[in-house]
Amino acid sequence: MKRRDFLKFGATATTATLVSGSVGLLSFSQRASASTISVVLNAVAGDITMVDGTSVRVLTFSQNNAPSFPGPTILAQEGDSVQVTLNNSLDTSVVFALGGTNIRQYVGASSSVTTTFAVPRAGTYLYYDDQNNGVNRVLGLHGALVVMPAGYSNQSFAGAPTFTRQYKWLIGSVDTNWSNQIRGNGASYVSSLNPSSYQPRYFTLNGKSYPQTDNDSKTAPYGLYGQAALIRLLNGGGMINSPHFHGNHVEILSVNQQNFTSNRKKKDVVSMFPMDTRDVLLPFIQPPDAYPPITSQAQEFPMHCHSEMSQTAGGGQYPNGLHVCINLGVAPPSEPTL
Amino acid sequence: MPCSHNINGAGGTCGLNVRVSPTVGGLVSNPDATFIRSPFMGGSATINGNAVKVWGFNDGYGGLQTGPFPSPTIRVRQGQIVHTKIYSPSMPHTIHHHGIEPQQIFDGVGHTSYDILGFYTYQWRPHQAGTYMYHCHTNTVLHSEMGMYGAIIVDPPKGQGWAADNSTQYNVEALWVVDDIDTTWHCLDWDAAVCGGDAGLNNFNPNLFCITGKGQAELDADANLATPKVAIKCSRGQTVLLRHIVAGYVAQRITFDSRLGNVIVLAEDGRVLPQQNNLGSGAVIVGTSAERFDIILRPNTAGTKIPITIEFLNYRCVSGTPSVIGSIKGYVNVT
Repeated sequence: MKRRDFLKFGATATTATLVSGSVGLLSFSQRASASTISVVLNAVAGDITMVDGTSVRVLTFSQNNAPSFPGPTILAQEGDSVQVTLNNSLDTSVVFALGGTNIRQYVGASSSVTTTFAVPRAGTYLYYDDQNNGVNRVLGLHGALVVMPAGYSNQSFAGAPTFTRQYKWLIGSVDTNWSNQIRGNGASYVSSLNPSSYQPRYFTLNGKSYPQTDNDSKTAPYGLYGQAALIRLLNGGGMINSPHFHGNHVEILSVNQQNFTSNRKKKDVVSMFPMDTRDVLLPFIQPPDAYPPITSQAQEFPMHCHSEMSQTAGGGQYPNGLHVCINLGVAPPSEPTL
Repeated sequence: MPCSHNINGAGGTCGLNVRVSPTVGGLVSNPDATFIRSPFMGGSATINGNAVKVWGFNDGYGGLQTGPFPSPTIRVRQGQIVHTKIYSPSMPHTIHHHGIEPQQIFDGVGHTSYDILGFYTYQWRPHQAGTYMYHCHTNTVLHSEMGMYGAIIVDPPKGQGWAADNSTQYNVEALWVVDDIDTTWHCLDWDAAVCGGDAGLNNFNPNLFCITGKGQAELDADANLATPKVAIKCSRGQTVLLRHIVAGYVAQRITFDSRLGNVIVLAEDGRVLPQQNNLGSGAVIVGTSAERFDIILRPNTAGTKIPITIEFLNYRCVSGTPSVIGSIKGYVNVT
């Protein structure tokens, strides 16, 4: 089913099937009534290719049998329920846990389980496998759940500033040694990996490293001046990150589902500890310290993690890591989806 | 610490956008303030008694071998049109004014403007007082680690003596630029692994820590001086503005001794908070790389070497619970 067809379907049916890629704001419309959203998450092992061509084994949630690093985004609105069918083809157990909530579902090796939960209040949530002190999560078993507030299509919560577009930035990191261990010994080796042995060599945003990020409409923010973007940051990886914005400070709207209705900070660095979520507003204003002032000219600025180890691939090759360019004053080549 | 090995990966200028003294339009002929910064790459700093190879920027033209660590502060007033001139005759470098948001061509990022060989002028006009920093943005992962950074202070319209909100007056100002150093990185070349290969630049294991260029041994000695350079010296009842810059790459957990009284955060990242954040006494602030905190202290208890303890957290954090990999104490002497 094509996304556009799905949207028509989802708008009228009481049961909808969620697809990867979900919807961006310009195509997002509130449903008049709550739905039960059905999601199939297959826990699979597979290989993905890093920015320098290196193949790495990951464990991910996927909607088919190919690895999806990160897992598919689940988009719901307040009042919805989500029915998750977990099909675990791995030789080790898997958990679907939703950060910031008590929602947690275990599924044994080579088993399937279906669970249904009412979505929590509007916000950005990391779903992940919480087993083995984070090892399963970091290997790729994580994704985003986005809950839109009931009755709003351009605010992340009632009373939040409005946005024109929204993006999801899910941070990941990859240790090739861990990857090789899983490839050689199977997924069940997760319990033998020592969390403190982690040495990430690749650093990703929505599964991509710079400059791949620049060519991904889901990741690279574009907009004309005044077209604010909501950016939902999540950290599924195994590193303490420090995303830094050039060009515009961002307004901190929500920190781990705590919403700030007033007195919001403006930051050029957004601390992201593992499993953190942050919703920030990138205002798409003219760079405020420019002289002569910018009026409508296009301006391109990087956003990158300032914990600079993350700016490398395979031990070097700066800046091929957690890095993407923001295009101020430019309409997007194609509208983003979450 | 002598360099015993030199694993660089493939050097070169891959992905860099090197230009020799590029010229751009829009520069004013009479800026309100001008700073000249020339890179050096053969410097040495003493950190906790260890000689460490450092790179950085000198004030003025020349002095291309050695220089200060950290690089000299740039101090301007809100609303001034500022020129920062780089003179980098031998290797490409840039100056990025971190937290300042100028025109793209003055942002100092190679792949969105230029890596500079020769001369270049960055023009900017800070619209908001506060604490910022500047650093080289060429092969940043290495160049910033090597020490190519310094503070930028933007004073409010009332000038020095007034905090970023232009209404809080301070008696004593302290600038703590807090860094973590992995000495094994300090033997690498300018272009280490820029063209691929493994220079270990993902693998950061800081073994030295410093506040504004001083390790623990130097800080301990500094605090004994009549006029310390880093230690804060004040009288009871005075207002202290502490500008804390997280210049290193790992997160810092900053713990204030309760004798220092309430810890009030007035600004972060060059933006005045909508409401001053009074964290109380004995407060803890956690910052990640390149954040800045403008902190107000009004100590009311006399004491010498009252500590502000900074713990450094391993960036590898699979479990989500950070581990401490080092710490350093800065001091406050209250009379």
